[in-house]
Amino acid sequence: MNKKITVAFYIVISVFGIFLLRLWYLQIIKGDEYKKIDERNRIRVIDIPAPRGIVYDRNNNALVKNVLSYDISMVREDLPADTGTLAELGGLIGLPAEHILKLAKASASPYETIKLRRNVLFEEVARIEARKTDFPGLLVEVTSARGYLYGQAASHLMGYLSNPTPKQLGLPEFSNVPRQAFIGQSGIEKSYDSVLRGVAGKKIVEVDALGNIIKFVRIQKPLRGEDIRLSIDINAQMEAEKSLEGQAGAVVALKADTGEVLAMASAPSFDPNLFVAGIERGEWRALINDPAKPLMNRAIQNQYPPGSTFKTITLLSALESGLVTEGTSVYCGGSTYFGRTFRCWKAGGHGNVNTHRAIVESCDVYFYDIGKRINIDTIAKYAFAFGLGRPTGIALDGEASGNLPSTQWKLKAKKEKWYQGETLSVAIGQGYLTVTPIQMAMLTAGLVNGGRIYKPHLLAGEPPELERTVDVDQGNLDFIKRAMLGVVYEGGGTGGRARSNIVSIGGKTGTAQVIAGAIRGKQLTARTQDHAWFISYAPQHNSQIAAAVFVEHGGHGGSTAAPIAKRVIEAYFNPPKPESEEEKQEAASAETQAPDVQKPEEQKQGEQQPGEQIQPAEAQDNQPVEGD
Amino acid sequence: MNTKYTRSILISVLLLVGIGTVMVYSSTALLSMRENGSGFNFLWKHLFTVFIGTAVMLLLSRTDYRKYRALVYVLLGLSVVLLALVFMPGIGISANGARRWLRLWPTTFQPSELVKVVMVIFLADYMDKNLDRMKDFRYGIAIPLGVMLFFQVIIIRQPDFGAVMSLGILTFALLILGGARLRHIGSLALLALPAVYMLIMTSSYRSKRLLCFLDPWKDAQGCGFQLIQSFIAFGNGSLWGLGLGGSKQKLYFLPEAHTDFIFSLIGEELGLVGAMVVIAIFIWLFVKGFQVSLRTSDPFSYFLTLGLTMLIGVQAIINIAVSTGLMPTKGLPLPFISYGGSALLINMAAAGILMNIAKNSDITSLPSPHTLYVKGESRGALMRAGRAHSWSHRQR
Repeated sequence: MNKKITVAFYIVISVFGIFLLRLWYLQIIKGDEYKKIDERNRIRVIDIPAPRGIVYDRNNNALVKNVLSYDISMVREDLPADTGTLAELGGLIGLPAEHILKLAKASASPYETIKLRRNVLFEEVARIEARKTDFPGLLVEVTSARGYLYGQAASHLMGYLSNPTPKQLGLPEFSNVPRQAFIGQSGIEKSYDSVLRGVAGKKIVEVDALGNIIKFVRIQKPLRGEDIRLSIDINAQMEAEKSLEGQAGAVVALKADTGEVLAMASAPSFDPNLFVAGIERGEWRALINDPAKPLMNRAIQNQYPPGSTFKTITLLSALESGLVTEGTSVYCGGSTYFGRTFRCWKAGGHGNVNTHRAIVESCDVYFYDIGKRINIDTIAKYAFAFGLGRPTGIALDGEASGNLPSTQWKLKAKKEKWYQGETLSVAIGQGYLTVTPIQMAMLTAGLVNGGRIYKPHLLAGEPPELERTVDVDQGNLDFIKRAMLGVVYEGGGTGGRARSNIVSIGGKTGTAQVIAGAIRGKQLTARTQDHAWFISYAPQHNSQIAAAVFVEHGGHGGSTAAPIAKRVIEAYFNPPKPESEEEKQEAASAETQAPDVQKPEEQKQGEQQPGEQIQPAEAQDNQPVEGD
Repeated sequence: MNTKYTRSILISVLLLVGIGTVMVYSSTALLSMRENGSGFNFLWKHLFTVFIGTAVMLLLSRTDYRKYRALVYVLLGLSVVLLALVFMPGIGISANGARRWLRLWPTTFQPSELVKVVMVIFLADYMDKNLDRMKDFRYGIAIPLGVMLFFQVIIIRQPDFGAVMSLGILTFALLILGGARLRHIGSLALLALPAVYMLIMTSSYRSKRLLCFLDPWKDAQGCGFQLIQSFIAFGNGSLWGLGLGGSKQKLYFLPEAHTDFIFSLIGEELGLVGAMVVIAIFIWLFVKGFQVSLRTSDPFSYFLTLGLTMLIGVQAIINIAVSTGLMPTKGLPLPFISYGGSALLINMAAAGILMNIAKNSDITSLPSPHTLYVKGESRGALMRAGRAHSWSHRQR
């Protein structure tokens, strides 16, 4: 028996002996190693996000600013363990229990603070605060987020923010951007991110396992991002957005003499608030899978045939190369033959049309006639000079270059020589030719400011960047400009709906075929309906604004696009002044005056003021339609 | 009367309780401040238990331990009733997914702690009565293990795996010392292995704990977190410790710093030296317990002493082994030191009984009818120290 008890005694004593060895190992041999692990455990570097710069429009209206965002978070360890309480918590903060668990799973440590919801409404915060005691560890944090002052206005142009992607985090330019910072991922938020972003600060702190700060070791204050002032005119921008509502399309308005972007709208648009708190996967999927492509900035990223708006360039090329003169007259019988029958949009034909009327009435046969004789490379040369076939270089991502056909292009792309018959299509803005709305706005600006091509830019006060001055006869440009005024103000003009009694507006309509003529004639569905174009400028002398309006499947340019151009231009020259008696009267009188319009005279005075009243001629907007 | 051992036991228990109280305050002050606005909240509760525990200990040290023999079946019945009550809503309290506590105003009570002591008393009484039949499988193994399993089955439902484990080790150890055949116990243990395996593997958290203990770094932020934080605490402490109140690990890094992982905190604040002092006191207490057992004159006293000594020793060993990463994590407090009412109270009661046995044990006073074998020659220092006077049922 004593043997047994002795064995038992020695077993116990040797177990304690093992403990001593173990403690020696843990405390002395491995001590330093554990201490090092411990430092990492306890010292936290907390990033202090820098407040982003504020974005203003050209008149110093803030478009986006920083607002307080209430975030709901909780330490993972504190999450209720039983499903009942978890569901209750979910009900309180408006997040399904399984979603909470998903977030919890994604966290690295059980003592990490998990952001459950961002940018919670203040009323909700009050409700949550009231019940905080039921859920220990539930936190309401205040951070800074983007607040959009004009709703969805210019959402494509402004762009959105998100946390840097893993790929971006690897890039040197984002080397000091904290993981949880928000950086611009599109639009100007991206283009000017380095300006707006500022420099994040750092708090080096000692924390306990719950992340509670015990001691501040060092604080490095963040540097606020710089504000930027956009060239955008928020009134014109809002009007463009409003006019496009319910349709797909784009409006680009440029300052004709500097290239500043006054308005850039794309529809359908998206709600930038979706991104404020960090977009959820489902919402993001819905956005990128939406067949209407709301994230696409149609003003720069999509390309379409320009339709008859291109006749301006065709005519300029013909005039410059001497193929036609101002007096050239062509008989339009509704179609012409060149290898096959080319039809005018007006089935009955225009009869005899001179050069001026060819633009005003958008007679296709006149331009087919040019197309029969002109070299495609001549058209390409002028089109390229005015900015087609290459990105404009605006400081926004994903700009399309459009396609400018030429003999060389065709050899390269189609391995085929150019056929003259194809020139007829290009002459009226069809065929292989595609453009973006911003290219058309730049082209229009060049046409009306004497051939000066300015690179479109987005910052107010930035010096204009003159890309080139196209070497053309000023007389030819003036002639085209007069014809464009005629499009809007003359009888039979296709752009009568752009007529304004505030400012003289000139323009050119375009109706771009989506499907070829042979299949046409049947009922056009929403998917096959023509695209509507209108390029415009105002006022006639010393033109200040050049605008391109594009409506996807909008039908006729004259009926769909022209009125939008008018609204945007008027909003620029005559901004709505809320709470102003005068304004209301003006609006009322504008309405009553609309029917009795007159053809504007070629204005005598050299200096024409914006907002100048014009008495346009007889109403012509009952059927301002035209074809290819 | 022999007060030498009584005093030794009293002093070592009070030393441990004293160290425990200081460490409980050190580990809970911040937590308590955060949750209750006062740093003393845990301390007051702990001191309350210490006060009651000391009273019970002193009372039991003056109560003749032989009286418990008559009460064995009453105590067993009481244990069953209390264990059953845990599952009654309103009386039983659940926390952290376990139902282990009874509402006992103004505090709570954990019946599984009581069961450990009752089991020791029962086994001591049982083995005394069946001393001659301990080699028999039926009496030596089947019946006592049946009683043990009965309690274990109830306790595992709470669940309290730590209590099941300590109850098992204690019973087996006592049965071996009581003369049960090693062959029987060994083959039983082999048979029980699949059951233990099932018990561990069917509960995902138990298997996770086991796997984590083998390699805590594999899931350093998950199930290995606690153990790694414990290692860090020991590492921080190094030889002399960070000083009282200097622990950083207790700032929520080390979960259960005031209960199951209080030994890690001792290692951090008092260093290797402090941890060794605590172990030394446990060894001293253990040695004193053994010495007392050798001075008893009847099997009941002998087994009761050994049982109570091992009850404290086994729990201390499991707790220290767990916090130093030598055993899988188990919810078991460090006797006399950890915060936690019932365990402290019961362990102090056990110490009180030990003190009473020590007081009544004297080789000269009580020649026992059971002393069939007196060993004249001593084996080792221990027996020399105790002037080796022992008995055995062995007819040799």
